[in-house]
Amino acid sequence: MNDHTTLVARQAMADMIGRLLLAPPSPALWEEAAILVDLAAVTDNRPEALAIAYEYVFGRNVYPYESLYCDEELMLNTATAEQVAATYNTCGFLPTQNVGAPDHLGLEFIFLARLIATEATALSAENLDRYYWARQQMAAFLADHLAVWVPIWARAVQRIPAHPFYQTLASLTVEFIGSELERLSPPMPVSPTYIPLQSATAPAEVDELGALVRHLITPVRAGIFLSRADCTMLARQLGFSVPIADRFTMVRTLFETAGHFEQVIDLVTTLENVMSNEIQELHRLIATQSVWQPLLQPWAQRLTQSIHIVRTGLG
Amino acid sequence: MTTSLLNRLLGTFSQRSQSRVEPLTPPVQAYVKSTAPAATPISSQELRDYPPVERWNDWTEYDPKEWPRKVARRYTLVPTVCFNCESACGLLAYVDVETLKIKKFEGNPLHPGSRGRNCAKGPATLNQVYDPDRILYPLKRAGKRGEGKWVRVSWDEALNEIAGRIRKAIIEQRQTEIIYHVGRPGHDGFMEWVLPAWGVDAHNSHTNVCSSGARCGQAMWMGLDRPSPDHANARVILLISSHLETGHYFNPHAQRIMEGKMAGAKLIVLDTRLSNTASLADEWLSPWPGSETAILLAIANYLIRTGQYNRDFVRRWVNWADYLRAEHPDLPVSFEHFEMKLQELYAQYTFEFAAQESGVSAEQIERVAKIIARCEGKLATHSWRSATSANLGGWMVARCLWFLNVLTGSIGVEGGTSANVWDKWIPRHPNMAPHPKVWNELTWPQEYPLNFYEMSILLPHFLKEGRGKVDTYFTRVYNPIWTNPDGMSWLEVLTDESKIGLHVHLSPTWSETGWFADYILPMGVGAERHDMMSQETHAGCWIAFRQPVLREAMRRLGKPVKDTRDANPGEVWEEVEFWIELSWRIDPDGKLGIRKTFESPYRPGQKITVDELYGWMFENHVPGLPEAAAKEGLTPLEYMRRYGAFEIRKGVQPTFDKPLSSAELADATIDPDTGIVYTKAPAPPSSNITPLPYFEPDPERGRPIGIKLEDGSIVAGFPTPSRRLEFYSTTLRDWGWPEYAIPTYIHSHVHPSKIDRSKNEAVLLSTFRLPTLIHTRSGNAKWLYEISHKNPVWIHTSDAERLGLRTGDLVKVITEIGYFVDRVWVTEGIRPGVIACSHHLGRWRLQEDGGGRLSTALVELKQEGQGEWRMRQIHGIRPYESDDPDTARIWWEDAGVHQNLTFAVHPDPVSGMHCWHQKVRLEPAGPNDRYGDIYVDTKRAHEVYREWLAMTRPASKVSPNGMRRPHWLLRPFRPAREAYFLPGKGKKS
Repeated sequence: MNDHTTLVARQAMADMIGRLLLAPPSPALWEEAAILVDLAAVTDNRPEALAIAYEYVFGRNVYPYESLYCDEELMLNTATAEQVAATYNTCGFLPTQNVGAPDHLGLEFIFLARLIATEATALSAENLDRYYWARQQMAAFLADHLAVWVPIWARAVQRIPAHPFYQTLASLTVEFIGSELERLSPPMPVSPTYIPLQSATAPAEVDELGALVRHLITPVRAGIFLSRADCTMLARQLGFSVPIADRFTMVRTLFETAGHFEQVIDLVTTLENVMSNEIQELHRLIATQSVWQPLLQPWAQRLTQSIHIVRTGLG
Repeated sequence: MTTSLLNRLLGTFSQRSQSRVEPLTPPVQAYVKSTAPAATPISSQELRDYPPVERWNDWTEYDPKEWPRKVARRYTLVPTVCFNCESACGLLAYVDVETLKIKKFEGNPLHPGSRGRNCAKGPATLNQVYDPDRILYPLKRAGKRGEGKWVRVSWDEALNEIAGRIRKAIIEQRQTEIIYHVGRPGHDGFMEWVLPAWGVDAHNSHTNVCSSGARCGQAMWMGLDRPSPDHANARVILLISSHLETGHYFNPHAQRIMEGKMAGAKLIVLDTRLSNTASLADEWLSPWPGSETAILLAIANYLIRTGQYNRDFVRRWVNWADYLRAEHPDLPVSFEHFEMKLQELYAQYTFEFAAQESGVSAEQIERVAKIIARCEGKLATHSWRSATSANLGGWMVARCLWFLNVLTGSIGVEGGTSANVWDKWIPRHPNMAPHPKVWNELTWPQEYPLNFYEMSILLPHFLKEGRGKVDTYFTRVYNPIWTNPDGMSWLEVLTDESKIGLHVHLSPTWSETGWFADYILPMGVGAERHDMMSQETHAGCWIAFRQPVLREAMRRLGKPVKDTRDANPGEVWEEVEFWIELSWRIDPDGKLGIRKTFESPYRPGQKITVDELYGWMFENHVPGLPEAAAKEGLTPLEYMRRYGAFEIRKGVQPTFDKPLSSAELADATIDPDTGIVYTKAPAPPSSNITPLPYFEPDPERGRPIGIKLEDGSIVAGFPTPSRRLEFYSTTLRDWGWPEYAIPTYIHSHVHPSKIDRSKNEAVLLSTFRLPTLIHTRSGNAKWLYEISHKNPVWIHTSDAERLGLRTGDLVKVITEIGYFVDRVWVTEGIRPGVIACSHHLGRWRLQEDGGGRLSTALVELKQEGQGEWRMRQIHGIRPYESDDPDTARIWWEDAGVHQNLTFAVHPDPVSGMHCWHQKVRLEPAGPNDRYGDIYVDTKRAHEVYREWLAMTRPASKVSPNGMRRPHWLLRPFRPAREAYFLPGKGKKS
């Protein structure tokens, strides 16, 4: 896994994953991806459909920014983004793409690719100091950042029946990270600390429902990223629809509508099912690769607590 | 263990040649084996708000228009003072040393009032400097007045004609035919230096459309007419105004009000309209216009009946004894008896009464009263214009507001309200002339013996009545046709050369009044003139220096000039040099006794220069400045040129409780009845010539200098007849208004009983300003006009519904003398029965190329019959080609509607203040009405003037001593005592 040829392949894969996540594939990138048979099998040869799917998945539903999963403010460029930017700076990585925040998943993967390339180059030049430096940086970045949130992001993507390409890409992303974790065997943080860039001044909710909704749409509290598509799916299962709006409004409308039609218990049950399913998926991943256990266990605990809150919060 | 998909893909990648992924090159040798944490990056330089002072002479910035190229530009930063309102905030001009163009204006961090911050008007000075429509050369009219034909002349020609004319008037004893009418004074004390030297009582001002009411109300308490609130340290801030202070001292006071609020002060705002300030208040009261006094007296009543007033302060400082002796001679003269009377006097002003008068709930008034009761002597109050300038008896609003300061003991203390003179410094000028021996009845008529400042709004009517004529009339940064009420009456007299012989308009811009002038002489804006400023912006005292920035930049670059015209654009001059030169030409050989005032204190017999004028004042009459300058090896003038401002003092420093010194008491006597201390020693000349009331020395005892109080202390006291705060004004009593001797409630001319809403009558509130504009002189500031360019009529939803109006519809607003047509803005932010329209807009011009194209509508003005005028807009503002490419990008069309033209004069019979509120009738516009239509009947305007004149109590009937006016009362440009006597009356003691 750590020989030069494999490292070169890994750096290329990480780089391609990063570029596929940053934007809908350009014709050149499309050609490049099509060479990979397994990816070609899920593209159905229609780049326009991929562009539409990209926009639907990442532009309107599952935003691929780490701070949205790890900080409470639900804004871009909060504390986590600052930390990622600081890491880039330390390593001499200057992103050329402007995607709104430094902690975009695509940028993080391109950064990872550059670190693997550094490792590979150092290996072939027998520069052991740089070799170990690169591995140390990767290990830390995976343990502190990428591996902390990507599985949650990937699960949110996989719940959306949008396009098999991006669902496959999400799975591949998680597998790649798991593989890197095994390869580098980083020391796991005992308990990740959260230091807000600013005090988490989420708007004061005027009622209990608002507080519950705020909890559910904050991944670092709820253990799950509830996208607009999730809200639409939940409503559809209950037989009604909710208008498209910001996530807070959609989730609140979901509860209010359920209350209006006396379907609150149904909603609670459906939500519990979704969360329980997510817990199972996390445990499945842990069972597949034990390296995930310290990283995903906190998320499973959050999900368990959220189930409890939903039950007790609504009586 | 890896998954199969990953393995397969990695296998594919392994077999193919890949595009290279660049390895990273970390900026530091971080890949060492050391496990020490990476060093924390060190900031290369701390962030600054302003360029450091030590680099103002030579400062470099990258040109933002050259981005992404980094092109450095060198500037010299010259401090000056904004000229766009009275605040006198500090500015820093960035002058490009290569092109000598001003790049921008930012704040001067060394200015103690503004502290580096400005409102929109300050930086917009740049627009005024580079306005392509500005007047750059002296112009003389070529056709008839108002015809719009001009020829360019030299300054010499203009000066010679004007000086010759003034000289002739002085020699022929027609001193009262010279009038200097000012809008925005530049330099404190400057015209007080010039006009007395000519021996004339020529000063005329805008004050009676601005602050006469507030001044009168305050002066009747303490002799001094302007407040200086310490908002930053207050516990309670009480404003009767809009936009913090109706645009007055807007920026410096705004900062301190916000500081006070952030420190926990409660902000209470009385404003009929929901202004920006009201929206941020802790308590917003929206009273019926004119009922503010009822609310204030209800609060006073609450403090009195619950005993929550500062008894010690009231006992010590209020002239309660005078009140008891005069009004209740049967009662013992004791404070306790006064307190009983106080309760009786104000018992009627219950919360319920105030609620009935004002429409504000009794609960809210009580809540506000309780807040004020807890102020612990830190009540900062302010009213300047607003209700004091809008209502008959508006001056009583100020008097009752100050009553609350008195009751709470919040005078001259930190967090309270001081008098302006304690926080203001006007240095003595060289060679000051004695007081003139003439009295100008065109500006100080007998009918208004207690007015504050001149009755300038009545000049057209006085001229029409034949009370006099004007030989030479200066309008200086003033536009009475537009700014004043009753503008058509002004237009009629300005076009009549038998009434106004020569009209000289000193202005940087075109204006409606300038169009009817004989000369337009271009004067510099804030960056193009010298002035010395000092304003009471907070608890402290400072002076600031306005200077022509290009002149100073040229001096720094080794290219000094001797005349500001050599540095300003075109032949734009500055007024200090202009008036010195004009005065010299009036009396070239000195035989009239005028020239000596303008001779250099350093070079006898030679004309004073600006450097000598300011150098002398700074060296001799600004405490602390010479020492501060010497520490840096500078002269005081150099210090002011470099830094632009000097702080004389921090904190409050009232004078009333200051003990008299042993030197002052050496020859003093004390009146046993009044406790007033007199001395025969002559008054030493003061370095600070901020106007004070004047008490003529008593032939036997001398002049009053202080008061002995109940506890035996001998202190300076207040400059009033009693040396105390005059709850009981013997002046009002003795000069015809005994019913107003104590704070009381006066019904406004727009009291609800006078408004019949069933006939669609309403009150028009026009007294609110827009903080982005400043009457005429912001007319060429494109940035400001882009922000504010329309003045719709605010109307409550219920009134709009009754009239069938929606936002954007046209409404006809009918006044006593005409009407105007404007669009409505339907809102909940104004009281039902009241409409509001800002007076800052509605500029117009009569010719397409008549100047001011980015702020004026082109109009047709017709006279349809005698005194009947009709105005219709031909088109609004349009983009045009000029040297400034932005003029082609003008996107706004609206210039607003000139409502002031349709207002008759309403001079308050006591203060002389024009009472701006109008009783109007509303109609939906008819099919022939257009936006901006105006109709005025000046015959009717004259009738209304006569109606208000009939309310007066002229000095000829009420004067107790044969004088035109109480001699002690503040009066700008005070004439000599002999001029105070009414015609035919001899001198009396």
